[in-house]
Amino acid sequence: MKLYNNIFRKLTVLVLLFYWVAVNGFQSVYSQSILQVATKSIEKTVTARTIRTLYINAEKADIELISWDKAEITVLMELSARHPDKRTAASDLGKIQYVAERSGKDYFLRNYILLREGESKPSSNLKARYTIHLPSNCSVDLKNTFGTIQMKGLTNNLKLSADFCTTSLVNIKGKGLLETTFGELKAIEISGTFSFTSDHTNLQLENIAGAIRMSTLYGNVEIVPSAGLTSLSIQSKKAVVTMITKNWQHFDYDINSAYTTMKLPNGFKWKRNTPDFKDAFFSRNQLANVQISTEFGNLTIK
Amino acid sequence: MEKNINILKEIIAKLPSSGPSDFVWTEIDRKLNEFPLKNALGQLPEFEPDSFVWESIENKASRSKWKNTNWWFAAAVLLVAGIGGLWISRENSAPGIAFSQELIDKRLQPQNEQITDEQYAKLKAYCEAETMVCSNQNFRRLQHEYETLQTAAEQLQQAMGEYNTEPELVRQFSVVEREKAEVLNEMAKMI
Repeated sequence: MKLYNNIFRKLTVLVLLFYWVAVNGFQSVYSQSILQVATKSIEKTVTARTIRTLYINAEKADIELISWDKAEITVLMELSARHPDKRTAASDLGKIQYVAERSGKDYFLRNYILLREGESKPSSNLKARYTIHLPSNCSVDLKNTFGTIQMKGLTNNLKLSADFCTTSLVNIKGKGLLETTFGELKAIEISGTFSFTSDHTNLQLENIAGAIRMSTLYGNVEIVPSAGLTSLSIQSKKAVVTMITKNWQHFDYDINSAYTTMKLPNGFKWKRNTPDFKDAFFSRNQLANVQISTEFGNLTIK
Repeated sequence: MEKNINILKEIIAKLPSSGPSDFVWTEIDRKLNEFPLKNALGQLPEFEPDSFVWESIENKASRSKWKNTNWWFAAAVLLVAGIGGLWISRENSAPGIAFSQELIDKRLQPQNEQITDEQYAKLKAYCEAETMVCSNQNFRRLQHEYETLQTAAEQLQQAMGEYNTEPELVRQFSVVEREKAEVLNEMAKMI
C-alpha cells in the first residue's frame, strides 16, 4: 500500500512539473508573438471662436485633422506603448508626456518622452494618435516625425513640418508653408498660395490651383495642375520632376536646366540647348506661368 | 513461669485493638474477584482476524489521511490563487491605462541587412588608396548622398525599434535602402 502511495505522490509531482513546464513554455512562445498594448486616452474640447491657431508638436504620431461645422475643437489624444511584457509597456507609457493646453488665442498639443532621473530609455514601441475635429477656418501649425498626417477641408493658414511622414492633404485652401524630409506627401485639390520644400520626399500633387512654389531636393515630384493654376515655380536639385497636364499649352513656360535629363513636348523654343545646359520657353501670354529650374535629375512635361 | 504467662496474657489483653481499614478489605475483595476472571481469560481460545479485516481498517485510515491532504491542497491552491489574483488585479489596475493585445508581425520588424553598407565601406577603403577617382566632384557628391541616406536609414531603424507595427516605416526604409544601392552602383561605375 505504501508503495502505491509513493508512486502516486511521485506521479503527482511529475504531472505538476510537466504542467508547469508546459504552461511556462506556452506562455513564453505566446508572449513572443503577442504585443501587450498599454493605452492612455486624453479628450479635450475647446470653444473654437477664441482660438486662432492650433499648434501640434508631435513625435511618432498618426494625426488626423477633420474639419466640421461646429464652433469647437475636439481633441482625442491616444498615447500607447507596445511591448511583449505588460509591465514594461505600462512603465514605458508613463514616460510619454503630453501637453494639451490653451495659451491666449493659441491651443497647444504636444507629446514627448521625458525620462526622470535614473529612468532607462523606453524599450517599447511608443506611438501617439491624434484625432482632431476643428472648424475649417482654424489655422494649423503642425510638426510630426515618423508617422502619418491626414488633413481634409481646411481653409486658413497651414504650416507643416513632416519628417519621415506619410502625409495626405485633401481639399485644402488658403495659405500654406509645407516642409518635408523623406517620406511621402500626396495633395489633392489644393488651391491658394502654397510653398513646398522637400528633401528626399516623394510628392504627388493633383488638381492644384493658385500660386504654388516648390523647392525640391532628391525624390520624385509629380504635379497635375488644374485650370485654376495661376503660377508654378519649381526649384529642383537631383529630383525627378514630372508635370502632367491635360493641355500643356494652357500655360507659359520658362525652363532653365543644368545637367538634367529633359523631355519636353514639341513646341518649346530653345534659348540654349547643349548637352549639359538646356534653357527653353513657351509663351502665348497665358494667364498662368510655369517657371522651372533644375540641377541634375530629370524633368518631364507632358 | 505460669505466673509470667498470666502476666503476659493480662498485658496482651490490655493492649488496644485496631482493625484494618475498609480500603484494605475492598482491595482484598477486588483481587479475590479478579483471580477467577484472569483464570478464565487464560483459558479462553485465541483467534487471529482474517487479513481482509486489517486491509479494511488500513483503507479507512488512509482515506481519512487523503481527505486531510485534500484539504491542505485546496487551502494552498486558494492561497496561491488569492495572491495571484491580487497581483494580477494590482497589475491591471493602473489608473487611466487600458490594455489590449496585438499580434507581432515579423515582416514588420527591421532586418539588419548591412550588405550595402559593407560594400560602401569597401569602396571607401579603396578610395583611401586610389584618390584620383574619389576626389572627383561627382564621386564626392554621390558619397555625400550615400551618407545622407545611411543616416536616414539609421533614423528609420531607430524609430521602428524592436516591436514595429508601422508598415509605412518599413516601406520608407526599403525605399531608402534601394536608393542607397542605386547611389552605390553609380559610385562603383566611376571606379
